[in-house]
Amino acid sequence: MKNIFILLPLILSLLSCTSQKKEASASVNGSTSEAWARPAAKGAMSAAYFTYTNTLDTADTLSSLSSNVSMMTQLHESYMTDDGLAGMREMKNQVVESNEQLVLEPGGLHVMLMRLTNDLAEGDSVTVTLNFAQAGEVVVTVPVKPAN
Amino acid sequence: MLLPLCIACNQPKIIDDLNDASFTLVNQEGEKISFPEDYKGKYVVMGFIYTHCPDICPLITRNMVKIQEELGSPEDVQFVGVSFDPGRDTPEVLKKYKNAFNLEENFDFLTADSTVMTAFLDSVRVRTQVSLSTENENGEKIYFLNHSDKIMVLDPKSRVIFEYGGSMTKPEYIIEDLATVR
Repeated sequence: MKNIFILLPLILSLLSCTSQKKEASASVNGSTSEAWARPAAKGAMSAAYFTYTNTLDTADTLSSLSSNVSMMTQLHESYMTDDGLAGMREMKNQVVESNEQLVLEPGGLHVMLMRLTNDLAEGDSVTVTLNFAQAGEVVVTVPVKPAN
Repeated sequence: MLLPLCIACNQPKIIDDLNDASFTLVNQEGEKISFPEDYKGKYVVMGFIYTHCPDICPLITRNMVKIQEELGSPEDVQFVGVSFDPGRDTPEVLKKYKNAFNLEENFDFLTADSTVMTAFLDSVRVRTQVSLSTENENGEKIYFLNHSDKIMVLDPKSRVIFEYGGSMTKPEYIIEDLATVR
């Protein structure tokens, strides 16, 4: 299953025109794994999780995100406030060092899928586009499934 | 002589007594729930969530689901998810949230008039505060809440006997605690 997510950007880039060369570059230089998104109803929120590895020789910055199922898409982090409350904050311009991983997992960093445009049920898939300053567009397709 | 003493030793400390409380809440079916009256005689595993929280709150819900599954959905244990965002979490929204988790019977999600919910949350010491607030491209306001991360267990007399960090506690611990009193 992991190979599907790793190879998908490469396959898409091979099928696309030359104006999308950044996707090819991104697929060669980055990889993703352990990808999934939560089921949720239209209009609600969901989250997507995966691990992205920056295999470039330089640090990279995640400038923006988008998806095919939400009106807004951001990188968020769950954290504990100083007074003991569970909170969530947007993480803008997240830096991924060379050969380091951006780990998105429950209770930590996650792709925030806000205002879903349709229901997400088990068996569906979500496409998230990550726009990196160096790697360019990285397209990640993740399956929708309940948490274990 | 020793037996009554041993039984007394196994009784958990009473954290709060909600026996005299009286709140009218609404479940995901739009049915009125008199709390705690309608749940008396059962253990209640109660977590606090809001449906616009896609990360921590599903972990809280998932933990309660695992407890219910591990216990085999017993009739003497009621599972309750209380929304602390009643303005957005209508019964219809909570019903969709419940359906997304494919939950068993004996699992209610509750909301209420915001005044009632504020009083209810005070009674169970659950705190919230508006945190991140933003607007989408249509100018619609989107906000998030900082909130207590809590699951509690009530005994059949509506007394709070256990409290846990809702998202970070292993369900096995709660199951073990329940086994000491059921």
